[in-house]
Amino acid sequence: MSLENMTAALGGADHPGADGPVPAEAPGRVRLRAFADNRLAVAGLAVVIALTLFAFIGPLLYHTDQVHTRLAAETLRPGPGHPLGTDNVGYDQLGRLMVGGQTTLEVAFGAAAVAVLLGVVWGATAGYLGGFADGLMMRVVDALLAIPALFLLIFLATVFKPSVLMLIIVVGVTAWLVPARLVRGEALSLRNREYVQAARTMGVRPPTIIFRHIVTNSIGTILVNATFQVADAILLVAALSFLGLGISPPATNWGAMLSDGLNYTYSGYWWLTYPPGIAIVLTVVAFNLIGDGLRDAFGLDTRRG
Amino acid sequence: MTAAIPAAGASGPVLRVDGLDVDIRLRRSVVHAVRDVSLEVAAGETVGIVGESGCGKSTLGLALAGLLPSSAVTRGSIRVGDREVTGVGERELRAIRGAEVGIVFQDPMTSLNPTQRIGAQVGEALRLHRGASREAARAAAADMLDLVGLPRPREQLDRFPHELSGGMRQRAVIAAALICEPKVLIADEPTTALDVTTQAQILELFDRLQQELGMATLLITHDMGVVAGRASRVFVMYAGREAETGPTAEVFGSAKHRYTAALLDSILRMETPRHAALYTIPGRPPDLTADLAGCPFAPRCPAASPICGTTFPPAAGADGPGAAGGHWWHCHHPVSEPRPAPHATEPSR
Amino acid sequence: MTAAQILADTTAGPPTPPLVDLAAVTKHYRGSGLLGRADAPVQAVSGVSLAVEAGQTVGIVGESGCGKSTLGRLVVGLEKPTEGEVRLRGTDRAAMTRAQRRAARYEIQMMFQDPFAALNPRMTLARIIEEPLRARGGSSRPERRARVGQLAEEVGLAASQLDRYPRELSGGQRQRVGLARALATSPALVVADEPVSALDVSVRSQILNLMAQLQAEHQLAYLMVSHDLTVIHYFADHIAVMYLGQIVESGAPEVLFRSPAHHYTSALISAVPEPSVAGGRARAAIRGELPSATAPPSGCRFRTRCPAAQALCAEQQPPLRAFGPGHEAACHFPLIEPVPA
Repeated sequence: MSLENMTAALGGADHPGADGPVPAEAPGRVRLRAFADNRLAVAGLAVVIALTLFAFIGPLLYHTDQVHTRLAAETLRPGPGHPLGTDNVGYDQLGRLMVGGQTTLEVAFGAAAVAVLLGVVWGATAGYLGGFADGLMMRVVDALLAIPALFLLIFLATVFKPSVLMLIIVVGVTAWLVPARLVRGEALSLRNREYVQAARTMGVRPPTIIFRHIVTNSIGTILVNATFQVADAILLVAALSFLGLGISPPATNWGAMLSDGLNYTYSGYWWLTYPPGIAIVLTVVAFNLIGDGLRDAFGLDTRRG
Repeated sequence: MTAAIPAAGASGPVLRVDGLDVDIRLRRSVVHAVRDVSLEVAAGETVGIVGESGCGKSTLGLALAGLLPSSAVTRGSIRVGDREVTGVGERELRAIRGAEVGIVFQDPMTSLNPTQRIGAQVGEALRLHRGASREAARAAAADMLDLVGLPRPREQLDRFPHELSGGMRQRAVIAAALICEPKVLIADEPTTALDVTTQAQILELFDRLQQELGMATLLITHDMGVVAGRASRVFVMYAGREAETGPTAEVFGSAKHRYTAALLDSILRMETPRHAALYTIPGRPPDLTADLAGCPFAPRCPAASPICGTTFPPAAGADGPGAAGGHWWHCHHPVSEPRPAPHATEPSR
Repeated sequence: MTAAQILADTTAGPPTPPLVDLAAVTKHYRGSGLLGRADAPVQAVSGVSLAVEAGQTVGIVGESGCGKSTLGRLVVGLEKPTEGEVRLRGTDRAAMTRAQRRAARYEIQMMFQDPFAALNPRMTLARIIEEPLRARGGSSRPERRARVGQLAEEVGLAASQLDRYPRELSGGQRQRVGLARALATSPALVVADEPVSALDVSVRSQILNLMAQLQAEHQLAYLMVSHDLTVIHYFADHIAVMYLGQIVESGAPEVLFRSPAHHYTSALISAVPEPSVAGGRARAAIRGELPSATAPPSGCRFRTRCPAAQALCAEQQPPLRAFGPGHEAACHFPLIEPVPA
């Protein structure tokens, strides 16, 4: 027996026609509680918050010089004065981790924002318009999806001068395809909802309809995908930096630190590879856990209409 | 498979419910969906359960089918034949469901698995409960589809649900429910999702099955018209409780409970004079999570008095409650005079 | 006496064109084939002519697949006819300029069936009711707020509820919001698509009373679309019965139900379950299933299920003939005698 039947059977006001008692809890609170109950998701959130604080607040408490190299102090082991040692040009590794974290997180959030923004606008419009326009727009998406993101990234990164902003744009521009697909799916189903029809009857203009009715009711899908976008962006930036296409020093990010550190693997300088590596893994896993938690929390809710 | 007629003189009611309470536990509250419901269905009888959304009739149906969610707490007794069904394990419940109790739900599209062929679904219960072989089940399914009036039954066996119309699907669902010759058929809003002409066809089918199979049927619906002329007895529910029970003609013709009377008055019929203001029941059904003392209809009842708010009315009736074929109601101030025409005589415009 | 009749009595001069006039309107949906491979089109509406006068209620009754919902959408402008004209106050909508069409749009609004899907769950009631006013433009925020308050009062909603969300309301209350929204721009016609079908029996009468009251107060016209015969019979001044995209019979409710001419109408009437003591009227059952809208039967579309079908019915489509003042039906072998032409 379907869940709708059961909900109807239980006589709540969700059942069409009821003039019965009103549901006890707002869906927002239901979702919040569902998320909070998910220990892994909360742990993920805690990790993200901790790492963000580490990267942005850390340097205020732990001052290191991240601009001038000190070749005399290169590749020192962790010890007094340098809890995580120094890297190959004498920067303090712990401080570097913080500064690198700033860039990594900035690019990740920024790229995710660009990807989601672009994807939502494209997908919602395509789904709402339907027909030929939808077909055309989604063929563009399909075509771009066929190109491996990494190649596209490498190409763009070699053409344009790398900077934080550039990285954000470049990564965002390759990542928007997935949210576009997702939101287009939502739009296709939402455009037949009666409140959308009602808006059309009222003469509300399509861009307004798309924003006010379609996007707002797809917020669950969008949010979930956004968290996964952040995780993916971190990996993409790390990959780019790995290939030497990241930002030039003294700026750095975790991916670059990892890539540089790998040159010294056989020298046993573990503090050059493990800290950035672990940081990347932690962040990516944390965001994935948050995404899963959000998806479950929203999934719980869509059942009840 | 010839239609079997149950042995005459089968002792006792086929379905018997005694003091059934169903509470649904929510996060922070409890919904008292069904309160102290008792009823009986004799072999070959059709009993109608009527009420509006939120009255508990569907929860009652689920309870009888053993399909309540795990958040439900039941008290009281449900007996199918001479078997107690409450408190019984899932294994036993499954044996009862489909074999002794056939269930038909409202929406034939969701009651049927869209990826499974009709023949397989109709015959499934036979294979499960009677251990029939695939060929035997298939033959029985074809016979059953013929009995429920599906044209060219053998061809339909290999079709998928989406290839059939709504009416045909509902017939298939009924066939699946009846294939093990259950003692009682529970039909929860079986025609609500169908067009009115298809509804007429399905109701005609129910009439015919009643005659040919002599099966007991519990018809749960909000549509009093469906119950009229088809159920010998009707059980009216409000806010999870019994409001009135009796022979259908009597309850519809001279309703005693104020809610029954008000409901009958507010139903739109062909005879309703056009352009006259319609009779409405003021207010809304009560919140089932609150602990209700007294009569749940009191806040909306024109004849309510202080006692209605404090004491739930005991069953009252000419023959006394529980008497077979009797008519009783739970109302401190039952309707006594014949009801005047419920509609304003001046046109509203 | 309807508002239209009163107006007609007191107004001299040439008759005003009807609010909405459908002239041989057809709507076919292209089949879902890939490029170059056209499947048979779905003939949702075929050759329908219908008029709605000011202050009048026209009811369209029929079962699923008859095209009544599509007809409602054609009237409102959500769909464009494949053939035929939809005229608003005499002017073909397709011939209007963009500006004219936009202005005309606010004269016809729609009220939807499903009270749960008709309102954006993420908008407050105030915003929902206000939306048509915002879309039309030309009003300030305080003006709109005032109008929303006025509308809420008219439909029986408390002002305190305006900041709530749809999920906090019951089905009946949501329909009231739908009605308020439809009335926001003071339309002349409201298309009501199954306005009470999703509501409980005792709530239906509340909403119907409200609709009648609003009609009297604002000289509203309604185009009510429903599968529920009793609702249409009670509310409409003029009824059109649809089957598989065509109008098979039309006339005043009393006439139609006392002496229907078309066999489908008769079957519909007898199929309605009635909670009367007598147990229901004689049933004129119809056999068989609804044919597909992509391949309707030749000649009379109802012939595959009609008890009186004969050879002629498969060859020729029956024309609409008069059976009395305002009473028409399309049947070769009707139940009553037509009025001689």
